[in-house]
Amino acid sequence: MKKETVMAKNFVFTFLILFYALFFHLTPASALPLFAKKYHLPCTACHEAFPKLNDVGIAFKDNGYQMGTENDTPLQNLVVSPFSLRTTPNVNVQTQTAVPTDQSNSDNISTGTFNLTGLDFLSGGVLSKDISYLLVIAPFLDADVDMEAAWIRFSNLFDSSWLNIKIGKHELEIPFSQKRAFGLTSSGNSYLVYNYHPGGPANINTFNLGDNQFGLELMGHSQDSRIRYVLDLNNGSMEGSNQAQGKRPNLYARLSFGFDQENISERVGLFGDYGYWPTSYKTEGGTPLPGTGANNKAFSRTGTDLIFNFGSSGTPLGSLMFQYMYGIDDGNLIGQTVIPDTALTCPSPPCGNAFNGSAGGSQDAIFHGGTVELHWMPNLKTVLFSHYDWIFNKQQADISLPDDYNDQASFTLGSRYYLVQSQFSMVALHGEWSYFASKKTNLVTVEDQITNTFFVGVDYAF
Amino acid sequence: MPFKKLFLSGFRGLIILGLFFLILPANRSLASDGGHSLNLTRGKGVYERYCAGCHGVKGDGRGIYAEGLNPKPRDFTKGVFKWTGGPAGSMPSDLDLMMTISEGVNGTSMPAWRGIRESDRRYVVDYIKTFSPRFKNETPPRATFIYPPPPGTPDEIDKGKTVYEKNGCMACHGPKGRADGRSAGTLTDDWGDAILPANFSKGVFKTGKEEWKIYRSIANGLGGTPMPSFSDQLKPAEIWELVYYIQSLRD
Ligand code: HEC
Ligand code: HEC
Repeated sequence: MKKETVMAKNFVFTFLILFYALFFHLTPASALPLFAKKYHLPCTACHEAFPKLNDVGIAFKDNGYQMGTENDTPLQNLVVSPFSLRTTPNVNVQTQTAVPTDQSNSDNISTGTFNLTGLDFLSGGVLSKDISYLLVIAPFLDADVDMEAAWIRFSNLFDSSWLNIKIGKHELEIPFSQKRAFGLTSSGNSYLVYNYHPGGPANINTFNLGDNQFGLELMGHSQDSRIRYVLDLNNGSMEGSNQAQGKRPNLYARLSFGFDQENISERVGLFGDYGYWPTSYKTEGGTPLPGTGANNKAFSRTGTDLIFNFGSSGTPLGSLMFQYMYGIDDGNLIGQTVIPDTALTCPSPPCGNAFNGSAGGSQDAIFHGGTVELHWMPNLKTVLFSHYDWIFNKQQADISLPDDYNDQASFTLGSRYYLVQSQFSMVALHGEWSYFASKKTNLVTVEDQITNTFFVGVDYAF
Repeated sequence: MPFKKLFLSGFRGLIILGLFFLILPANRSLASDGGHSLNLTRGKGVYERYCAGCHGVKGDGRGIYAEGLNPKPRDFTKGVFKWTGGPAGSMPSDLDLMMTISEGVNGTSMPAWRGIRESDRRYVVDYIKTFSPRFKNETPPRATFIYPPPPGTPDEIDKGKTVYEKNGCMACHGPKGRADGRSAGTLTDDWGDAILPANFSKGVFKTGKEEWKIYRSIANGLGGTPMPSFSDQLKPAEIWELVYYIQSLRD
């Protein structure tokens, strides 16, 4: 057994024991705290445990942040400030294997830092009956301020819960929200299938199902949100020079059904995304010009998911969640080197250079992967969470690559202990270990690369 | 670590967690009295997660988040309820409670709890009934019969105005239904709090838009409030005329 595995195990066990020894006997008492405050509810009315939504929270969100009883004070009457903040100061230890450096073809690198997960400023609520909004600003430590989400939603059109329209930058209704994952490490709070690109860095398609997208969402649901559908037209991760083909928006769709029994409830769903990515541009001074993308090549993602929630609505015991996804990227999206293409006709010079890719992969890239995730709540203040993700390549676009090049796996195990989940705030102690491995991705030595991350922090929001 | 092993170690972790799962539900289903106490335990779980913040752990309406709410959350220990199938003051049936809990009370902080699983909503009904001995000693009467509605013509609205003026509605609800009648400012409810008559100009009814529920509020009155029962005094047709009339008072 390698050193890092032993370390990981020791870490997890020490951590868990500390958790229980220290905090089992403390008894301090989870919507966005801004919603909790507004409705005089604890966080746990809408969250199984923050930030994961329960059925009540899903129904509240689907109804446009409205309780459905004509009592949703609009923003104009600021009873409580409509702002929330969330961040997690933490200690983060990371080890990476087989990293090529200038000094060696395969180095082991480890880092240990005090850190922040980022800082989310959130504001959301009701502007007027059936008009709601969300703003999430995430200034990261030394990076730019990122407008993570900014949308407005018109709910219950024609008095029907089946017609709601959202416009702006928003998270796609993917089966497992990455904004509501318990995990806080990069493997812990993301799912491989949503963010995978076959062919690795050689793939010019940077579409991510997990990214918040600019677009228009049409969604509908039954009154209790047990049946839900979503149709989403969006930019498909294209920004800046990639805003090439607004003419052909990316389409995401999802349909899901929930079923209730006494001690268990299930949700089963289907999802899919169909889009195009340009492979040639006109340029100016060598830089691709937005809007000029052409030779669009297709990609698709098709998946299914199944969620079991154990326990009752009042005392949830946890969940067992599965998803499986199949993805295809047109071979021309992979292995492109962008070279000037003078063959593209220019109606009247000067047009600038038109760029076209060299011949890409000779066949479609096909991969499939999934997630098995388990949440367990031994009591109402503690959550143990774990998810295991995998990606297998079925067919590489570039036939010179090994079949299993960039197959991936990740495993996360963590625990949260909630000190506070009240009407006003949420404070949780958080510990997590995550493991990420990618196959043969050290291109020099053709070794697997492995990253281990240990994370201990305090997650808080108010 | 070879790649295969990585997959295996991931699965091993999940299996260990999975085993905990299997042990846990077994522990929690030790009830031996035909499941009744188990159901109360479930109801308590639902109550404490969703309701206690307002209605209080003891059901006395003094939850830790109840401060500043108007109207105040119901004190269940008195066993008095506003929305009952029978006349004001009688016990609500499980169905009555289930309806209030599922649909909420419009215009108040009492949310619609449709998101809670139906079985769990039934258990929480059982549970809130434990707060008052009235539920042991009394049974809910037959629900008031709701006569089928007439078509709701302008003529009926006019007649409704007369019925409204003749039967003292104005004293509380005011001449135009703006909650500004003579005695409007003087009313208190059985829980000792000041209460305003309904303001019809807003077009929001606590029980929702369904007309049969407005009919029911007039026919039965509202338990624990000054809103009297009119079923002895008025004919079903007149109650319907009132329903149409007060609906027409919306701004
Ligand atoms: C945010 C505060 C709040 C929460 C949480 C809340 N309620 Fe209420 N509830 C109220 C208020 C306020 C009233 C009184 C409304 C009125 O009298 O107009 C009320 C009234 C009631 C009534 C009385 C109906 C009647 O006929 O008189 C019942 C029953 C009830 N709630 C059940 C529940 C249950 C069950 C839950 C949890 C699932 C719950 N409430 C959660 C605020 C709340
Ligand atoms: C003694 C005063 C009083 C009189 C007389 C009275 N009401 Fe009321 N009524 C009230 C009060 C107080 C309420 C509010 C109860 C509450 O909000 O819980 C109310 C509520 C109602 C409601 C329910 C509104 C809702 O939001 O669901 C209706 C309908 C209603 N009254 C109709 C009438 C009609 C019609 C008459 C005459 C036939 C009448 N009332 C006479 C005091 C009165």
